Amino acid sequence: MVQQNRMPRKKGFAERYGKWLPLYVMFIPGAIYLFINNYIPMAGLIIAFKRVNFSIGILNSPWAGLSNFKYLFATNDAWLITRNTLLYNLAFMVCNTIFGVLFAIFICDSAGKRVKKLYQSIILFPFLMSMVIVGYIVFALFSMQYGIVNKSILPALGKSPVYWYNEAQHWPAILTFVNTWKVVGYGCLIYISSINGIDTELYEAAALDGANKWQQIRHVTLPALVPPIITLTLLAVGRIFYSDFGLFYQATRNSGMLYSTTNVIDTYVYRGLVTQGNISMSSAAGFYQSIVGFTLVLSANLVVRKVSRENALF
Amino acid sequence: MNRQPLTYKIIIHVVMMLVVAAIILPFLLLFLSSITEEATLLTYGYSFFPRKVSLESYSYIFRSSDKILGAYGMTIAITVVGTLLNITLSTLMAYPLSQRNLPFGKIMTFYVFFTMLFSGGLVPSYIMWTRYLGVKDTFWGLILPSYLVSAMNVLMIRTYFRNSIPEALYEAARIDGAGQFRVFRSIGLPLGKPILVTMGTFAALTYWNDWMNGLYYIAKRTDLYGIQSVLNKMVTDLQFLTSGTMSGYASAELARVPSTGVQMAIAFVAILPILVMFPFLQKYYQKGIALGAVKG
Amino acid sequence: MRKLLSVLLLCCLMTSILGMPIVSAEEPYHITMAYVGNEQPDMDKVVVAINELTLAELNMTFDVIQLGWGEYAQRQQLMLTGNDDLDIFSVFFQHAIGYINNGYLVNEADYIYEYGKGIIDFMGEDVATGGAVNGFIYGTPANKESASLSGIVMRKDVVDKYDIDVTSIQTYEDLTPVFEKIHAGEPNMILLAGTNLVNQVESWDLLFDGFGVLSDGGQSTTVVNRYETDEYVRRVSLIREWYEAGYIMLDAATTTESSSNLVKAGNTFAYLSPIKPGFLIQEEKVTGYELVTAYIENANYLYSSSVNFFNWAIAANSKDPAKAMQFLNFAYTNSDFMNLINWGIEGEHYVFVDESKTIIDFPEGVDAMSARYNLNIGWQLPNQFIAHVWNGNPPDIWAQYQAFNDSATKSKAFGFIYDSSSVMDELVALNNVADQYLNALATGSVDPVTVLPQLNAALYAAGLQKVIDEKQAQLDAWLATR
Repeated sequence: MVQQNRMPRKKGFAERYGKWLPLYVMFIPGAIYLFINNYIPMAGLIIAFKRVNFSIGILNSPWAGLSNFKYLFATNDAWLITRNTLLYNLAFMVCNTIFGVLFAIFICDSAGKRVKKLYQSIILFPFLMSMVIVGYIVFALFSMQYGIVNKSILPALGKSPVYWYNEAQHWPAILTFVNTWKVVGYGCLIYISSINGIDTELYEAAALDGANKWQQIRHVTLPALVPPIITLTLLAVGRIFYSDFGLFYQATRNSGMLYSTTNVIDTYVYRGLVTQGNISMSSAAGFYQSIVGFTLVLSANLVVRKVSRENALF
Repeated sequence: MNRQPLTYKIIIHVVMMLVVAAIILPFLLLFLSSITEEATLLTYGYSFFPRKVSLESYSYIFRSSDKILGAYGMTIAITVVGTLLNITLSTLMAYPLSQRNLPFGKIMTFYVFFTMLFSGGLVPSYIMWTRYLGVKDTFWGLILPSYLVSAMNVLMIRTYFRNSIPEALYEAARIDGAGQFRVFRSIGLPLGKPILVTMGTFAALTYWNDWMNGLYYIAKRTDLYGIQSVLNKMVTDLQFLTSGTMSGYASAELARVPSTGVQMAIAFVAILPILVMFPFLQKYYQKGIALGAVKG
Repeated sequence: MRKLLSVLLLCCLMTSILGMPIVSAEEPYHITMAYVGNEQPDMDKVVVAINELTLAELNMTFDVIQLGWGEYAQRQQLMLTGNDDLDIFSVFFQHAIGYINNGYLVNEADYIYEYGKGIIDFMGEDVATGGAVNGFIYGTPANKESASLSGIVMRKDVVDKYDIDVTSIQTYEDLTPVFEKIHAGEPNMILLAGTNLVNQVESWDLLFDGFGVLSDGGQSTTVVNRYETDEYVRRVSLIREWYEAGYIMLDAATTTESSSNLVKAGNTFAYLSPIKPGFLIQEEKVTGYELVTAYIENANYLYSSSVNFFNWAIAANSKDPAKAMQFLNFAYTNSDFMNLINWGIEGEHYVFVDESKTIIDFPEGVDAMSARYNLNIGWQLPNQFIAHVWNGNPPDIWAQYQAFNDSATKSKAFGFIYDSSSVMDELVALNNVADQYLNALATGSVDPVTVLPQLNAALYAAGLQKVIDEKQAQLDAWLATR
């Protein structure tokens, strides 16, 4: 009796999961890697809640409650750095999406294989440069003493030189441009691969229906790009409290006079802790950035799920 | 798709020409600055038309480090091995997540995604990789930590597998009695080529550009340094020494500090091989894309 | 004889490695030392030579880890948290408090009196044990020229051309007419380079971080806000005048070009620098110009922060701190070790140029660029005063250094290092404020009339008063024990 009862259930289990087994097997190597590389070290997050003393070990160190977080909020700059971080990240998301999609469509529609190839590789070039180097280039352009803009361009236009590195108001535009310049290729290439995946028959059908180019883009191309756009945006939302340290530190040459528009959470923490070497306080900052991103991305994912279940991440 | 209105064609070309210019000109400026004679640079400023050309910066780099050539070799080895492993693991991981009906699929996706949000920080990772896995001062120290599987790549590949390959194709293959592996090999892999090539490119760029693993996991075996590690070390040393922190003590060190022109040359040395290899890589790259675009 | 002994000991080591333990000989202790400096191609060779020495003298084996300038802070922290093999390493003074609080270091007070007698004898107890916070000796200072007398370094050809009377330059104000005169003739020349225009002349005891300082080179014991002192206001106002007159490079606040490189390029006249014995010879080599110097403000003081600039600490990782201390003692007193680590192997990496075998130089056909080993960081290594003198320096340079140090007036707070752990949060905010304003003010890039009040308001908002009060309380307590 017992056996008869169990047999069908067992069979059901095998039937339900057995056919998926190969997929689970495929997943495992990467999962193990992530476990080793990411999950185990996450235990280190408790450092943020401890007053760490390595001579007695992390676990034996006294708890510090939330005191390691205090410095992030106690300062007058807390509002400023949060605002800067958020606004820049929003601007980056918008620019990267719009220009990424635009260039992807243009590249796919340009005539000639050679030209396509050329565009595709050139748009990746900025990826090859570290932010330090990008900082040099920005300096070559905007240096007040030696820069091309002040030495050649502005005089040619009959304008007087601008104190770029002394005046904060120019930098939101400069940094947004630099960031787009540097990373637009990433999204762009992903969009190109999605466009390449579109069945050409769809365009032919649309053309037969009398759709003009704009209508084809709107009704065939863009819908195919929605999934990668949503994925990329969700991923960006998760990191909305983080910033590219190199961009805000190197490209501005750490010029103090620009802080009102260039100080972000990452640079603030770095500048504050660089001499103190307090890893509890720096991991507290990381934890804070992560938890905000985590909350936001869960909510964003929920919204996506409501609108189009298909495109939600999970 | 090929017959397009003239105005549209013109817009495309004007815009793309601007984009190309915006990307190429800074590179050109970088290169020209690196071959401008130092005194000229510091007197007349940066220019697209240097008054006096000098290759001193380049000769400085090769004189000051006998490692550059070996480091190129290491970088290529790291990039090839790292990219192959990365793209293999990422693809294997992404494909199951793309299957709509996979039980626990959402949890598994979340498992991957979560690693993008939280990080234990450098110290725990360092302890993990050096004390327990012993990668310090080995080739694997440059490959394994941090970059082997990137959640970002996995999720982008998953999105493609799921949305750009019609569900019907998977179904058809299954009805033909193909097992999961077969479906993956006969449908997923060939049709997924565009994204695999793209993500492979990014993985390659990640390894090519990496200097952090070199910094953290290579202590004594500096012969294992890739080109970026060597150059990054030069640049960060330079920044530190000129920052004024050392006041007067390091004047002997400062004497060896290279100048702006050399820094520009360093940057160029780091990207030169990729610029040289690009046409060759392009060939394979294009092949991959073209294969992927063929649809059943 | 000693060579024979070391060979013998080496044989002992070999046999013990081969699994035939010698009963009488204790297992040699393995010392790992980390320094901050450049990589040396022949490091392995030198390490072998040092091993011969340490085995013979101490029954220890020796290994060294090189940390680059730009990376050392991060790598030190990783090595310390990761419990890597590490016994002794050099700690930058600003990291000391953090390292102590994180439990990275061994308190040398427990060992130095027993195993570090040589260090105390050589440097004097107050200097040798001065790297202490609340009685915790975190490290022993490198023996070097620590006084801070600074001045202006100028191109001699320009000075001659414009007939400048160098002896007339004694204060900041005296520089204005000099610059005026040259600017009239060389309108495009940068007359003063660098970002250190205020700080280089060290008229305050910064008490390590500059947030709350002692005026008059530490002759006052009242902690004050440096940025409200008359001296500071006077300097930044003057520098602003120079900036506006075009004497200072427009990008001065953000430049990464070293001042000597700028002079070398031919368009720069002068910069500020500490001026120490042997300085001019070295600087002329670097810039390629003949130079003249003049001290400014005659601020000749000795501060704890300059004596303890880089200190040799024992890592908590050390398996045997007593052995590590013994090794340190050896490093401070053994000239063979110092010569090997700083200059390499005689005959291969350097040769003697004089009869009495004190002055050394590169062998024939080798220069600084092609040298296989020339560490040349004597100011960071334990005790360069017992090592050879590099060619070009006066033969009695170590005596001159000693005299230079002795000529300086010690700050009243000499030997005092404050414990900042109770004001960590404030320091984060203060560091940001400092980064924001100080370089700009110190290069004249902004107008002090409007910016100085902003700076001070921001400092007080960030908690400066709390830090000042804390420092004052600790200083008073410390002074009371003297």
